[in-house]
Amino acid sequence: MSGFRLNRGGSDIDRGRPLAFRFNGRLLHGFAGDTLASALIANGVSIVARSFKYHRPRGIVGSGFAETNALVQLGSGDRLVPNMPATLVPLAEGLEASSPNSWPSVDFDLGRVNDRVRALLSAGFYYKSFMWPGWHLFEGFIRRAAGIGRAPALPDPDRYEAREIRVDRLVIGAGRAGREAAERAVAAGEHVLILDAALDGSVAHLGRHPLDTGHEGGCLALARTTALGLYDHGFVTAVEEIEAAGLRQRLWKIRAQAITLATGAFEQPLIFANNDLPGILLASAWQDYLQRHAAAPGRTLLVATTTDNGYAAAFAAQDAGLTVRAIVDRREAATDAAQEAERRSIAVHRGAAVIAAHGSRRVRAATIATPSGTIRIACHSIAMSGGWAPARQLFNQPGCMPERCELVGMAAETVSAEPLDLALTRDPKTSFIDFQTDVTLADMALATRENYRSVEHVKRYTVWGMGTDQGKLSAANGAAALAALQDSASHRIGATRNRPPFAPVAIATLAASRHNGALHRPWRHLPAHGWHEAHGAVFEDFGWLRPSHYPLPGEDIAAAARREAAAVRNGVGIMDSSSLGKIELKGPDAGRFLDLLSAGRPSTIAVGDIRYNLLLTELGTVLDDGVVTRLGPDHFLLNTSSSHTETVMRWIEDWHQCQWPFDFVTRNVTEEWAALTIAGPQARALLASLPGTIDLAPERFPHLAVREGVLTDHPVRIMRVSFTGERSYEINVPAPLAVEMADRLWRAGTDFGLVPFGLDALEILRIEKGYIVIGTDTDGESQPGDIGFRKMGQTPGDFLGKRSLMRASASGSDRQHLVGLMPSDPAHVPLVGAHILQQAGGKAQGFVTSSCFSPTLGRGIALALMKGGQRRHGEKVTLWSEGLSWQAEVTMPRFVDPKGERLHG
Amino acid sequence: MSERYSAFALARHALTGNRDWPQAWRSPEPKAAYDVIVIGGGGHGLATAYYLAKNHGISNVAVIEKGWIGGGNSGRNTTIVRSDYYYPASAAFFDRSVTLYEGLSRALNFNIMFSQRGTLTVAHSRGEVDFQRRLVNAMALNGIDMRTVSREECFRLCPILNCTPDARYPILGGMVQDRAGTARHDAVVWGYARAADRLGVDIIQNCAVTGIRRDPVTGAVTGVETEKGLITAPKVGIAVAGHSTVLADMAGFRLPLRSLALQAFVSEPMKPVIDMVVSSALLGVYVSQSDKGGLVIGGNADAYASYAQRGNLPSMEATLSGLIEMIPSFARVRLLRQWAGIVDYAHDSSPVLGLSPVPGLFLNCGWGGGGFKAIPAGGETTAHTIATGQPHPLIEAFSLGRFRELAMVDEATAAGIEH
Amino acid sequence: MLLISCPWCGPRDEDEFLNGGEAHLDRPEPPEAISDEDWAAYLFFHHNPRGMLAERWAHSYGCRRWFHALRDTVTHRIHATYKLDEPRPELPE
Repeated sequence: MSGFRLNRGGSDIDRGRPLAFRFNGRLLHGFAGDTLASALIANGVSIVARSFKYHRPRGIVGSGFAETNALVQLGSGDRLVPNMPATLVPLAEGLEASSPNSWPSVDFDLGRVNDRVRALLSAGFYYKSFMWPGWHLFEGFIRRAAGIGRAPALPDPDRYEAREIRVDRLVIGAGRAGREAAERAVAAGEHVLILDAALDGSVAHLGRHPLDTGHEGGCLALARTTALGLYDHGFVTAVEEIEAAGLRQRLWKIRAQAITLATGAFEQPLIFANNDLPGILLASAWQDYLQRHAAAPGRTLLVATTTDNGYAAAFAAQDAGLTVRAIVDRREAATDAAQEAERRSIAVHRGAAVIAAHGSRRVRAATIATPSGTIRIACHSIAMSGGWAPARQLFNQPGCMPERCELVGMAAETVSAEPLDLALTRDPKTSFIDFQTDVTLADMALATRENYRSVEHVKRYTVWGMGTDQGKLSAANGAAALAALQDSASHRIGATRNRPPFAPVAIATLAASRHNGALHRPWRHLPAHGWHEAHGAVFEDFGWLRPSHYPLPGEDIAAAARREAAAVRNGVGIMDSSSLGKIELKGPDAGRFLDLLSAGRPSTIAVGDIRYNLLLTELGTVLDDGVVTRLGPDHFLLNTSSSHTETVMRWIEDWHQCQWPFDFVTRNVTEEWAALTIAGPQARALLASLPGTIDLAPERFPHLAVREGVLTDHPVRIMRVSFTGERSYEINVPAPLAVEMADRLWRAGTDFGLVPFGLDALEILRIEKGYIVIGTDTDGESQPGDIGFRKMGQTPGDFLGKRSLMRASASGSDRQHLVGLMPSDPAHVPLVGAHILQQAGGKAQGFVTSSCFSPTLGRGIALALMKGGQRRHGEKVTLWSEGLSWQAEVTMPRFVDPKGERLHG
Repeated sequence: MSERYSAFALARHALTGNRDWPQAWRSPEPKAAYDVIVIGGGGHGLATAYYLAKNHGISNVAVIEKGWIGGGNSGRNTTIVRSDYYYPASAAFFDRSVTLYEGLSRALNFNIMFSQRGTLTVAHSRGEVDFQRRLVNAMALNGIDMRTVSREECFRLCPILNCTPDARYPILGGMVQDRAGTARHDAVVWGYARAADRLGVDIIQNCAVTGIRRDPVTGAVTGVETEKGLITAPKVGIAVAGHSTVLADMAGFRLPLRSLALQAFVSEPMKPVIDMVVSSALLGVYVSQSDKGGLVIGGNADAYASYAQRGNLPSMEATLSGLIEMIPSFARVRLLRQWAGIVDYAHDSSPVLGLSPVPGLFLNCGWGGGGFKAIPAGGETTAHTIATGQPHPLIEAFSLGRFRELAMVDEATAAGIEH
Repeated sequence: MLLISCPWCGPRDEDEFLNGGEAHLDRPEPPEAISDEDWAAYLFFHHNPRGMLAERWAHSYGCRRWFHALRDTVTHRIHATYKLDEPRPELPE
């Protein structure tokens, strides 16, 4: 006889609110307040799942987190959840659940054949076989047989969030000990957070005083909240079940001055033959279902116990009108509970133990060893109580004594479990230590025999404790079994390390602080983003969202880039350079500091001048390049590559604060200034057409100079720097004026054929000129000499990287130098990443770093890093990429205007 | 003595109730002296001992382990085996390792479940696609089986990848190594232990080394002090991963290594859902599915020195948010376990192998997060180096001396890959 | 999640900080006078103790200041944080 619902009782259920749900397609009914587990028991469902390896029928064994058998597949479609313990699922109208890992059905599962050949599938059998003809021939079958539930296949529509909180005391667990601890702490004036996984509001009465009002003490209580991880310095994570308005779960990140762990204890199963049969439950679970849900797991009950808790289950069953066949108590001594049982006319076998359960699809009877011989007792259900294992999973997570942490209540008690008597089990092969992973006493004996003796070896060899309950119902029994097998004491066996999370938790919950999707990392917009949008820009993510090109109707990206580049070479273009890093250094020692930081002595730059500069690491490799502008005697502006600004800023701060605490201040002004670059032969004419205070005459404002003044009513800082090879003015304006300035330049530009150009056109222009991008045309080993700046590396005096540049390795003949490449076929654009081979073949000589079709030259060109390349101009080489090859000639890394005449004037 | 494992042996033992399987390895008391002592009973230490006996006929060897064998990084890693390295020296070494892995189950008569399911590394920008082409070409020219794949091919190989065009980090392409895959980490340790034991190697567990003895005149190593007393040997190898500098301190020299906690995660077991090892450098995450069905997830190391073998929240958040950006349907999958191993990183992310400043003391360290894949080749070359006193040709580039010469094998900065 | 006491901002979560490795390393100068060994020692051969480590931290997402901490690399317990110009505190045995 399977489980059923009693006509009365059930503290948690509301008989006035029936709920319909489906299990394996069958329409069933329960009540509000049921868990899926209690509803299944009430509906007489015995077999809820199949075990991992042997596909043995399994029912509900525990309640709450203490469930290892009854894993169900929950929901469907984009809200599918695999492997959910039925005990943790609140029943809801329309809930759909099914049994995973069984075929064709959980009641008739062909996988059960594994149970018949159990001896072949002993612990670690796969390490001893499947080597011939090859593992790959077997692995597919093993993989399909393993796993439990089906993985969700669709993106998750639900929302998750994270909250942080700081408290004086965190109390985990709102049982009696936890509540008392919380009340004491509040009375002592502490701000307390207490949490409990309980489904109901049993902790709510502790109050919901706001914690940050500054009043004397207070308590915030969170129900349906489970602590997951105990980390350093009083930091704890917890998950709160919400399931409302699309918000599924909330991750709590708690920092506590003190932590009270009132996490209670888990009742442990007993070890006997067929102890995994459906209908055998923990005594505490039996009581829970009976008293809270009025769900009886069976009409007649046999109790197997080593504690008084078994008696409590028996008395509860008797009070509910059920028949208690007997109480089988391992203890010999008489107890008050035993006397009470006798008073209630319940048969008690002292000094006795269940040695085997019988039944095929659920328990029907049990064999009991008593001091006077074995007897067999028929029963519909067994309640077992193998003692209590303190729930110290959180406490044990750090692997060392956690700080500011105390254990109270049952979690603090030491267990004195009855030592395991191996003779008391009739069949080690069906005496399960770990139900879910199908680890038996025989498996542990085999591991011991084969000298896998450390708990970790046994765990890994047999997979004991590796199920979804992470050993909550198997760690203690496993240790006891090992102690018996190894003839040692249980505490000498030790325990495997508990790891976070305490209970399985959705990946999305743990990642909730760093939202996925569009907010995985925030976009970075240019100050004039909208202006570019209005002018037809196509954006791409380069750390900043920047225009890659401004296509005309019918143009693809390559055509647009060529047109834009040609416009800059022949007329004038405008591009947004705002993302370039801008770091100001100001103070009497700024120049002296920059000299130590740079190869190239920025302190010798004249006020109003600009100079190309390299920052090196202490290994002499290039960290970043950019120009240094001297705005005043004590005032420098350092430009960085767009993607290196924060790196360089930290670099400056580090050396300034820790090594050279000189007299200057530094500030990253990247986002305070927008920069619009006007480039091309017509650039000066365009600017001259606008009203302003800056004299643009080339003899007074030459290339590599800076001028501050007013342009079209706005304050500007104009720098003559060029990354295109054309005459170029970088107009820096306060960021809020970016759109206004762009509009004015645009209106003035109509007479000059002004064209907006994006990064793809800039690529063409800078490659034609051989201007490098750090990280693209250099790698982590490039030094100044490799990219044509040997002299900068030889600047007198000390600077970062100098000592390393003096090493032999800095002047080796096979260093990779920057070179140009001209493909023999002018139409060919070399693939970036193609490798350079000597024409005769042989070892790689280098690789293409940048390439484009040059509209100026009408041919493909490339930049490359090549071994000893500075001495190899003119050499014919082969370019190779994934089996294809092309011919090319090594050239100077400068294709257009090699003397730089176009920059001036 | 142990017997050969086979399906036949399984069947025979099944008939006798699995009651007389022999020990996989012995647990002997240490002798007073050995020809070689290997400190560290992880994959590298046990493989070194195995190859000393197998390839060089030196079987009077003790492997000394402070805890249980395989209890360090060998038993904490994410089990990935691949050889997609950039520099020729790295490629040659790690490809040798993959080749040894391919024959390892049979060589050891222990199924290490090497599963060549391939690695797929996705690229999220045009620049990254170009960069992968460069890597693939360099590796291909070094003889590694690498290829680039298109965006469409990525989705064919792994249909659950984030294929929405408006993804924050859209997938534009990828690179694949077909010979790469995963192996069962514990099995590698146990397989080497059992095979080494069969050749006469003594495996001494629960025996921490407390000091390294050196000859006061020559400075050469003479033995090690342990919890079980002094054990002498003219040659000592160190293969202790994150604790290498602790041993070097005992021997009186410094190593250019930093110990960091590297985390890994495993999910609940599910039916097969992802076939390859899939990773993204930009998102800082990689994932594969074990034969048991759990997702095995890894990311970047914590950024500060640590000897605490435990996980932390910040790197977990970074790794897992990267994972669900790459594969959105994993959002509801539940995480079962988070742990960490202590890895030792050199400045250039390449290992430190071969001779030490102390005569007779040999190094096998600096593996960073990539030691598991290197176990067979690490053991083979370390054994050669110990036996002959000369660095094996495959490890010459990885000498300790390279730091003085500034001749790095900088996989991290040149290739942009943390291995 | 370490709780690190910035000497200027007080106790803050670990993810506001950057770690800078071993503290109290002095850059050898001038370059001409430094041997190859000393240069390599400065660059690479740092102390990596299992136990107490004096290390550098920067409060990057706060005041952006560098400071020093004495931290146990096994327990992660931070025994002291101190400003750059302060000497390494003596710890009671």
